[in-house]
Amino acid sequence: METGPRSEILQGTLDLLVLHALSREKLHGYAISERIAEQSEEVLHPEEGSLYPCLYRMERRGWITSELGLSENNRRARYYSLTRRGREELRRQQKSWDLFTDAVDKVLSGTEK
Amino acid sequence: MLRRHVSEWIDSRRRVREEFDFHFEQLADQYLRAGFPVSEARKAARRRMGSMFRHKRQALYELQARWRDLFSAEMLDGVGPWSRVSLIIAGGFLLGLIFSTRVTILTAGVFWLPVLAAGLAWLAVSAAERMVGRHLRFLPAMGSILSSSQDLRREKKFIGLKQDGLQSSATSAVSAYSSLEWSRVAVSVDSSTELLWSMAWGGLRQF
Repeated sequence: METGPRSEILQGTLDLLVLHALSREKLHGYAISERIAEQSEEVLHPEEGSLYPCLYRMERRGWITSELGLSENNRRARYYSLTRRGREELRRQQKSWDLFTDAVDKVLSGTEK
Repeated sequence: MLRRHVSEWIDSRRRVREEFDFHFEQLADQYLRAGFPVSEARKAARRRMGSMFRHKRQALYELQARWRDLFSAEMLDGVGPWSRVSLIIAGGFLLGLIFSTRVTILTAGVFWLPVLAAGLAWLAVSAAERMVGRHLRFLPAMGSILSSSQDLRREKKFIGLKQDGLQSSATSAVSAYSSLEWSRVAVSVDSSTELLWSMAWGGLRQF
């Protein structure tokens, strides 16, 4: 089960990816990582060394909350879910990301002319 | 307070360990489902995760950020300057004990015990400065009072011998002059003694 070509996650975008992954349902750390990899068609794989500090940081800021539960294979796992503040933050980050990508697109399309 | 902080610290370590163990097991299961033998699946999972130690350390650092802030704030607010000194010495002593059991007693003898001794000496000097210094600082004031009263007596005698006829006006002049002289002497005695004392304490502190 070799994974596809990997890409470094742009600094500062991991928060957005994790918030988006949690926007539909509560997930544990491993599932968040898998969700991001799956939705990016195996291009983005958050490293464990970045993912968990990111989760703890977001929990400290009140964007997400965690609780213990049982995984699909009956193992004890910590599930993360988005808070109201987290949803607001997701909307804010999505907006600034759209602005950023639009700006980059404009620059790149400008050089092609 | 300390108990709460210790349990929070232990809980954070346990949480990181459990989450990483779970992540590792899930990854190994994924390789197993893909047809890897058990040992190979675990090896592959370990390889994919990279340095668990480093990842755990990074995660723990982030998880304990709030705890660190709270702990340091509460500790510094809760204890006075004397208790802080005691804590520093106790910490040094504890480190000495840890190192002596883990590495060698020689390390404790060569490094930690001198550190501890220096800490104790500093504490003793500070205590002496606070307790004894307060009493010794009376001396300059006493000296200035004594010398100025002697001067006053001398001035009165001298002027009294020279100006017998002008006793009443001379007395007021003497008292005015004496009070001026008293303050001058007091200032000079006081400042010179203060200077000496400050030099002495400065030297003692340097030592």
